[in-house]
Amino acid sequence: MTRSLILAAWAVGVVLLVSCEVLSVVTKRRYIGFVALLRRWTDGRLRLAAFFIGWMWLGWHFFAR
Amino acid sequence: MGVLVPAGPSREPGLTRTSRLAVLVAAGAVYSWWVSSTTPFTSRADVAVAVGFVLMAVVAGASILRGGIGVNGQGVSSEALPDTPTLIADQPAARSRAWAAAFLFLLAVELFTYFAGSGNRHDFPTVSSLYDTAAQSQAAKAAIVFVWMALGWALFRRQPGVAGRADAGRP
Repeated sequence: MTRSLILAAWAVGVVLLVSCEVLSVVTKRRYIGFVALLRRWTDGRLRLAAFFIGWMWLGWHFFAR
Repeated sequence: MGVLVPAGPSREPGLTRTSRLAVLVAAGAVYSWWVSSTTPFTSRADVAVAVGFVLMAVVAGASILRGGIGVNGQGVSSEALPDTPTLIADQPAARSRAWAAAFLFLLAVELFTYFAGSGNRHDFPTVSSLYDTAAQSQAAKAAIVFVWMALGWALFRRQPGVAGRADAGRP
């Protein structure tokens, strides 16, 4: 029961993310899409470097360690 | 995807954007399959992931050399790339709050499951445990690796003319 609820919560989160992208497409990018969001968040070399380190950590955590 | 558009103004003649995309996707698929064939906590997995780091560092270096990661609006103009969002800076922060809410929700679920489920990971699956389940299938693991590489690619193959102005309208 608990597992089902948690899995449902994860599913809701994924649906929220997909909805944000759909909203962006439907409104012809009046609302920001994922790629534009990524660009906004990584604006500037320090932020980009931080994201790159985070990206490397993700790969290392999931695929190597 | 706009993210795969070359950042520099020069484009290689004779190689269309579509064919370049196809080559990239094929290379990414081969790499992803290779990584997915490795077992974590082995030197083979370490090497495979490290190769991804090196590949992305090369992409980053190439982007910097071509002015693709400039912060002064250098590089290709937004008008030259009609399939990419124009003038991100003109989009109010309110229009990205839905994303923030979605990510905060996911973060809350992760934190809750992490702390509430210590010792009972089956009932309280975190992202990592969900991944472990998915990664039992090599195809699923390869797909996840591919998404990871695409995300890294998206970090560096960007539109500098827009990124450089992104702070302008931010509160």
